[in-house]
Order: sequence, then C-alpha cells, then structure tokens
Amino acid sequence: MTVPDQPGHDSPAALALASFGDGRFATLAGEAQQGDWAVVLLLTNEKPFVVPYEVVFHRDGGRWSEVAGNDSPGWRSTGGANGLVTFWAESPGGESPVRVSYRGTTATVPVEAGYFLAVFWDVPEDDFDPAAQPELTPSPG
Amino acid sequence: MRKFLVVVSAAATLGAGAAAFAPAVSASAATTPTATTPATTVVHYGGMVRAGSTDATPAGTATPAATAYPSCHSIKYVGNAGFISVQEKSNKLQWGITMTPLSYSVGKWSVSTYLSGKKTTSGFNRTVTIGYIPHGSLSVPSGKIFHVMAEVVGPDGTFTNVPNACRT
Repeated sequence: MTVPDQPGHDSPAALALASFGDGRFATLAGEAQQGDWAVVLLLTNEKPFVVPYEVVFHRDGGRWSEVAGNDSPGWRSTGGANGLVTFWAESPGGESPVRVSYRGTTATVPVEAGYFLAVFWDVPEDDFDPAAQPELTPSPG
Repeated sequence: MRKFLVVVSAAATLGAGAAAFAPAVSASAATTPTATTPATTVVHYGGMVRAGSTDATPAGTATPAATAYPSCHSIKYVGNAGFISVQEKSNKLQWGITMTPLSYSVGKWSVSTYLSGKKTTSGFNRTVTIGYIPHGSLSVPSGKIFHVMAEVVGPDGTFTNVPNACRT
C-alpha cells in the first residue's frame, strides 16, 4: 500500500468530498492509493447518523476520476481479472491504528474519524469471498 | 451533488430512497421517453421477488434476457417484493434496491453489479438490522449492458432479483 498523493484540489479525497456538497455533507475517514488506483472512505451525514460511503478512483492521463461508489466494503474490478478488496468499519480500538489481516496479508492502517479503511490490491474476483471477514486487532501504533 | 445523501434511519432511509431515484411511476402508467416527451422513469418487470415464488428464478441464474435493452437513463424494475432503480446521466450510473415493505431489507445481503457480463463490483455484502436501501454508483461507458444481481436472506425470507438489464 502506498501513501496517498499530497492533498490537492484534484486529489481523490478532495474530489470525493467535493461531490458531497463541497465537503459540507461528508467527512474524510480514510484514503488508500496504489499506483493509479485510489479508494476514499467518507462519512456522510452528521453524527449520530453517519453513513460510510466508499469511492474508488482511477488516474488516467494524470487526472483522477471516480469509478465506483458503494455503501458496503467489497471487491471492485480494476480491469482485467483482478480487482481490489476493501474493508472498512468503525475502529475496534478507538483512535489506535488497526491491524487488518486478510488471506495471509496484513496491513496496519490509521483510524480517522473513528473508522479504518484497509485495501488489498490485485485480488482475483474468484478469490474474494464476501463471507470471509478480516481479522482485526488494534495496533500499538 | 449526489442525490442519495441523506440516509439516517429506517424511516428516513425510505425517504432518501424516494429522493435518490426518479419519482415512482406505476407499472400501468409506465411510459417510454421519446424525442418529443420529457424523460420519465421507465418501469419494467424485473425487481426483487421472494425466492421460490413463481416469479423467481433460481439463485445465480438470474441473467439478463437476450432482448432489446431499455436505456439506463431512468428505469425502475419492479418485482413483488421490491424494486431496483437505475439512473444514468453523463456516463455516471446510480443504482439502488428498495424492498417493499422496507422490513424485507433486514438480513444478509449479497449484491453484485455487471457491465456487459463482467462483474464491476461486489457492491453490497453485509447484514443490515434496520430497513435499508443498498445503493451505489458506477462510471460507465456508453453502449454497455448493466445489470444487478441481488439476494437478501432475512427473517422474512429469501428474496432475489429477477432478470434486469439496461443499456448505458
């Protein structure tokens, strides 16, 4: 997993927020990027009625554009036979980073606004099992 | 701005669903947009039905009928247990599934979306405990066939989609 590009008005996070009333109706809760693909997790609405919403972006010709939006984690096609798998939820351990293990791969991801977002890249469609939940453990940081 | 923004509770979710997609048009009043009339929601048979009913197809076999496809511009597939709504504008497609009654949406969901037979997302895979309207969006090129496959297993039974497909 790579660190997202520096924030800018045309970054995936900025674009995702802009699509919700220029950020008036959503809060950034996570962002992940690998190469020309990025995933942004937003919390829409206000507490206590927040609704997480995930937005997938692809960069083509230097510009990011939205590919898909979902109100559930899952598998997303990135073209070809593979895709990416997202997991997100409320943090099980407060604001501490969360260690997420899925099919032998472990990622430690930050918590923002009480939620974590983990993305596993290059996952064949057939390898994704909606019933297989990741193993979550709070990380000491 | 997104139209499916406000989803705050079971009751409000229903309202959001109404706001999220084009106004409901009864099947008997369905119209087809023409070059001279304003575009309205086109209503087709093909929403959510109770598994095992005469309207249902076996799980996993609900594939689009090989017939002429309606436009995805604004369409509503109505079944006896819910409807699938699709709207598309400027190559941005939004979909949603509203169970009727909304309590039928309680349970374990499995939803996938397809473009011309290729899975684009495993769009909604979780268990919900209050009334909810699964929804999502896709950037779509023109000339593709979009369809949704969905199943929810809950206390009121198992519900699945029947064939639906539209052309982007």
